[in-house]
Amino acid sequence: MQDNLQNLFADRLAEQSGQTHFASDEHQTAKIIQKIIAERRVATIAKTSLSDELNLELSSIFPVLGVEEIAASADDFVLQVSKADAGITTATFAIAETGTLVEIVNDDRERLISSLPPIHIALVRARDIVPSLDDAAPRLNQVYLSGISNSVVTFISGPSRTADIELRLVLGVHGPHEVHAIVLHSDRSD
Amino acid sequence: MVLTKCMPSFSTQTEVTRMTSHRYRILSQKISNAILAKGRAAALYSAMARGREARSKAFARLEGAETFRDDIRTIKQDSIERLEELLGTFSENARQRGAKVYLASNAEDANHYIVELAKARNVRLVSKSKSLTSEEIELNKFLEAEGIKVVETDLGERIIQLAKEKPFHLVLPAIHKTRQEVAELLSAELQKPVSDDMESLMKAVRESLREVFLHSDMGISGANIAIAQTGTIVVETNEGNARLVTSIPKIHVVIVGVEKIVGTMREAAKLIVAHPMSATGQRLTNYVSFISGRLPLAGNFEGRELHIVILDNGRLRMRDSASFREALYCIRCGACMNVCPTYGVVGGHVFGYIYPGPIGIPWTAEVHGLDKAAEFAPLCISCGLCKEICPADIDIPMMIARVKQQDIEANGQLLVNEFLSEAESFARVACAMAPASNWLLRRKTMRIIAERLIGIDRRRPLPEFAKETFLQWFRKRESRTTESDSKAVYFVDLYANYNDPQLGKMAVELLEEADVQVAVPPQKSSGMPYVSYGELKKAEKVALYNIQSLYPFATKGFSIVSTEPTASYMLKFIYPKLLGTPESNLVAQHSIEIFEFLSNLKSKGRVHIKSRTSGKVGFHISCHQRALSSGKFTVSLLREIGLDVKVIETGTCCGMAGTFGMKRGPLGFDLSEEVGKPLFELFLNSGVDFIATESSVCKIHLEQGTGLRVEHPLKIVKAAFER
Repeated sequence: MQDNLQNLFADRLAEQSGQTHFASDEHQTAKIIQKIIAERRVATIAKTSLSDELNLELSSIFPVLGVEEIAASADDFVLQVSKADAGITTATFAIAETGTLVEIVNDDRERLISSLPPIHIALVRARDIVPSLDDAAPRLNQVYLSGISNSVVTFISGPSRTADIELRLVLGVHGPHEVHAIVLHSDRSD
Repeated sequence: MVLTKCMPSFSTQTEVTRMTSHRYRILSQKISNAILAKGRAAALYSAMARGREARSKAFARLEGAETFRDDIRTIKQDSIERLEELLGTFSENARQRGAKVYLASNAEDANHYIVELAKARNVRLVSKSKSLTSEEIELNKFLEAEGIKVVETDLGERIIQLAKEKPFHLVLPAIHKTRQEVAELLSAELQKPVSDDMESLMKAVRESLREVFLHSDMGISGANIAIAQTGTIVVETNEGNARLVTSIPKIHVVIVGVEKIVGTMREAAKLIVAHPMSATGQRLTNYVSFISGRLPLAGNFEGRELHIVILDNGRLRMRDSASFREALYCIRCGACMNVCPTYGVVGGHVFGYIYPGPIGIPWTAEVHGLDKAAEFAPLCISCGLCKEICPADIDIPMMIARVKQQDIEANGQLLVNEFLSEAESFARVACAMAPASNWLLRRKTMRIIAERLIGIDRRRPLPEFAKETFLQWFRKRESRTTESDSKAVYFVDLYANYNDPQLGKMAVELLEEADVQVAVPPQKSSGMPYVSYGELKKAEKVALYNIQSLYPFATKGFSIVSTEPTASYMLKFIYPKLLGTPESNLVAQHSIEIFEFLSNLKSKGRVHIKSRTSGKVGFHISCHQRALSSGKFTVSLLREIGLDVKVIETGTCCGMAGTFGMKRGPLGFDLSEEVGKPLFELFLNSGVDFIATESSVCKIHLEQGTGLRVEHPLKIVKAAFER
C-alpha cells in the first residue's frame, strides 16, 4: 500500500514535470542531493531547517563540491537566495493523487527558498504521503485548529510553468524549472 | 407587399433605434476586422480546442464526476446565500490574524483605499499577480496617476500590459501575440535587443521581473477563494509569481470580490480542483497558496502588513436580483469562453469589455453598466453550450437574454431581429402564397430587396414553403381516436409545419404504426428567436399559449414529442424558466425528443426494424440536442438499421444558431461561416456519403457549407421500420 502510494505520487508529479527520488535513510538522501547538485554544477544553496543527521551528512558533502551555503541570518538574505542555484526544503506532507508537496511555514524565508532558486529539492517522509486531497483536510485542520498563529500553506505540484506564449510549455519562468522530491525512509530506495 | 404585411408592429426609426444601429455598425466592423486577422483567429482556435480537450479528459478521469457540477453549484449557492454571515466571519478571523480588512462599496472606494495606502507608505514600485478584480476597477491606472510604477508579473498579463491591450482570453491573456511580437515588446521595454526564441524570451522575462519582485514595496494579488472559518486567502498560479508577490514586498494587498468567500477549507478544497480542471485540465494548479495572515521575513516583522480589500461594486445588488444572482457563482475558470462559438472567432477584445466571453455579458452589465454589455451582447447566438460546460451550471444563456431584453427596452430592437423573431407570421403568409412565394424568394432581385430592407443575407438559401402546412393536413384528415396506453402529442415547431410537413407526417405515421395515440393540439412555434433576440415578453406569451394547450395532455399522461431539438429544449428548459409555473414544469417533465421516445418504444417491442440499409453517415449533434441527450438515441438507432455512423464534431456550435446565420453581413452570415468552416472541413474529410442532423437550421448551414446531402434521421429510419 505504501509502496503504491509512493509510486502514484511519483507518477503524478512526473505528469507535472517533477522528479521523485527514493532514499532509505539520511545518508542516501545526502547522496541523492550530492548527485543533483554535482550534475547541475550548483555553487550556492539555501536550505530550511533539516534534521541534525541530514545536516551532518550535507556538511561533509558541500565543502567537497565547493558549494556555498547561504546563512539563514544574512542581512541581505532575500537577495542572496535570489542568486542561489538551489533550495532545499522539507514538505510537511505530500498528496499522492495530485503529485503535490505540501509546504507549511510560519516565516516567508522558507517560501523564498522553494520559490526563488532554479532548482527546488524537497524532502518528504514516506509515511507522510497521503492518498488524496480528502485525506489532506484533517492534516490541514491541525494547522488551523492548533491556534491562530499565522501560516502559509502551499501546494506545490511541479516546477513553475507557463504556456502564455504561443501555447508553448516553458518551465521555470519565475520559480524553479526543476523540482526534485526525495521520499525519505522509503522501502523502495533508488 | 408580403414583407410589409407581416411587419405590423415594427418600430419606426426613433432616437433609440438609431443608437442601436450605431452600435450595430461598430460591432460589425469589429467582427470583420477580427475575421480578417487570420493568425490571431488560428491561435485562438487552437488555444480553445486545447482547453476543451484538456477539460473533457480531466472530467472523464475525475472521481465523482457525476455529482461534480452539483457539488460546485451547491457550494457557491450556499456561500452566496450566507454571504453576510460569511463576510462577517471572514473579516473577524482575518483581523484576528492582524490583517486590515476593508469592505469597498465600489471601484472608486477600493482604488482610493489602495492608492492612499501606497502614498502613505511611500510606495514607488508595485508588483502584481494576475487579478481580474483589479482590472474590473482599473486599479493600475489610478496608481500610475500618482507616479507609482505597477508591473504585472504573470507572463501573459505582462505582455498585454506592455502592449497596452486588454486580455484576449481569460486564462491565456496574450494568446494572440506571436513570439516575434513579444520579442519586440520586451526589446522596447528593456531597451536592449531580445531575440525571439523561447529561451531568450524567458531569460529576459525572468531577469527583468526578478528585479521587480526584489525591489517592489507593495505586492498586489487577487484571490481565487477566501475562507471564512480561518480568515485565509487562497491564491492559485502556475508560474509561481503570486508566491513572490505575496512574500517579498513589505505590504501585501489582496483585492477580492465579495462573492469569493466560502465557509470552510472543505469547500475550498473542492474549488481548487474545479478551477484547473475547467481551465487547463490540470489536477491542481501548480502552486496553491493558503495565506493565513502576514508572516515575518527571516524573523523580521517590521513594516510587514496585510490589507484585504473586499469589493462589492454591484455584487450585493446582483445577489438581490432573481435574474442575475447566479452570475455570482462564477469561479472564473474560462470554460464558457473555450466553448463559445463566436468568441472563438473574434476573441476577448471584441467579445468583452473587461470581463470577456459569455459570463462577461451579465458581469459587464452589472458592474460596468448595460451600455458596455450591449456593445457585445449581440455576439451571443444562444447555442446554450456555455451552460452545459459551466462547472457551476450557471444559466448564462438566460442571463444574456435578460441583458438583451434590457437593451432593447432601453435602446430599441434591430429591424432584422424583429422580423426574424416574427418568422412564424412570415411563414404563414409565405405558405398561403406558395408556390408563388417560393418563386419570388428564389428571384435574385427579391433577395436583394430582402437584404436591403430587412437584413436577410442574399447568400443564404432559404427553405421552400409548403402549400399545405402540417397542422392544416392534420386537421383535415380523419380523426383516429383509438385509445392506447401509449400517448403522444406531436409538437411540430416551425420548420416541419411550414417548410417540411412531410417530416411531421412521417413522425405521426411512425408513432401510429406503433399503436401510439397521437394528438396534435393547437400550437405555435416554440419561439426560440424571441429568446435569442431578447424579446422575452413575447417569448413568455408564446410559452404561455403552448403550455395552456399542452398541459391538459401532460396531465393525461401524454408525452410531448418533437422532431426539432430546439423545440424540445424550449419545452424542457426554457419555458419553465420563463414561466416558473407548475404547469410548465409538468410539460417539461413530459417533453421528449422523438428518438428517445422511439427507442423506448423499441425496447418495449412496439416498433421493429424490418429492413436494413448501408452507407456512411456523419451525424451532427445540434447544440440544443447536447442539453437533451447528445443524440445518443439517434446514433444507436441509425447504427441498428445498418448505417456506419460517425459523430463529427468540433466541440462547439456549427454557427447557424437558428436565424442568426440568415442575417446580413458580419453579425450574421459572415460570422456563422467563420464558425462553421472547421466543422465543414471535418465533414468533407470524413469520407461520409451524407449527413444526418435533427436540426432544421443546422441542416441549411451544413448543406451550404459542405455541399453534402443533409437528412433528418427520422426520414432515414422511417423506411427501415416500414418495409
